Amino acid sequence: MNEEGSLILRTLTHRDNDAFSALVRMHQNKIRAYLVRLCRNYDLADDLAQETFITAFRKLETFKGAGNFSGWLFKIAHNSFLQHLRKTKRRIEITEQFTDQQEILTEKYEAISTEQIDIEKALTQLNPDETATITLSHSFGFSHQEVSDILNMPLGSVKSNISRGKTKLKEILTKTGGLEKAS
Amino acid sequence: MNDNSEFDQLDKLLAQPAMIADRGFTEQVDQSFRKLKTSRRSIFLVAGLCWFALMIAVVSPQALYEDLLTMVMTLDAVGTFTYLLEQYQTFDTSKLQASYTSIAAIVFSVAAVISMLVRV
Repeated sequence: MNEEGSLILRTLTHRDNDAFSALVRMHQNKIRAYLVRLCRNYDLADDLAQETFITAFRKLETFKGAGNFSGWLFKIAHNSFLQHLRKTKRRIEITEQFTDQQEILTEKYEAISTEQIDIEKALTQLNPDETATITLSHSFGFSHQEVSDILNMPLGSVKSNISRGKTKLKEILTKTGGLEKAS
Repeated sequence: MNDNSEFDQLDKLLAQPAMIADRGFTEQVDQSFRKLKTSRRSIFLVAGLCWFALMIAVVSPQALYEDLLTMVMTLDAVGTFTYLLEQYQTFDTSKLQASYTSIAAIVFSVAAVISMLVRV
């Protein structure tokens, strides 16, 4: 059994806080990066990430162990995001602090290059479905089928969202010179 | 730059997402778990104490002790089933005289059990 598996087992059998904290430490950066891309607001993303881990802790016995734990966490995170949208009944607005202040970006991220800043900015121009599908498949390595399961979205829609989103991203980055910088 | 190489470039950029730094996030979540556990434990404790107090109020401590002992002795499944079956068969509704205290005890006991089952 790998480290993740044994931590899950320890949490399940002993309700061991330290084991679950280790799981949080292991996955927090991806879950928060994903939620930041969806929410476009760091504080909100952190609140939803916290909610995600608390829900995961409470519902850990429903995780069958057959699937991917990381995928299961992303599913909870995405549902938290959708629930937030339903509660607030409004579109996510991009706050100024999100994209424009270099010092905030360097403070929030472990390390961020100018190319990565360009990508983060460009992703704010996509709709949440495009952002979610592209992030899960291209940034976090899930297969299209896994993305479909996580987002509860038909496989065809996953593929079309990725294709449309990537075309938009390419256009935005071509305009801003983001792709040339990266080459 | 042609279309394909631009898409390849884009794929490369997307495959290296910027990761959010922890900066105390894990500790914050850890504290929430501990709070959650403490409040759940308090609710269990209060519910258990309420149940026990009510039982003592309704029946004498000696009778309660005897009941608990009987319950422990009948804990094996077959024994419990036979016991319940016997109780059911000999149950005479005409002798049922529910006082307000026992009704209240039943209601509070059920509420206590439900509160114990409800997850915080």
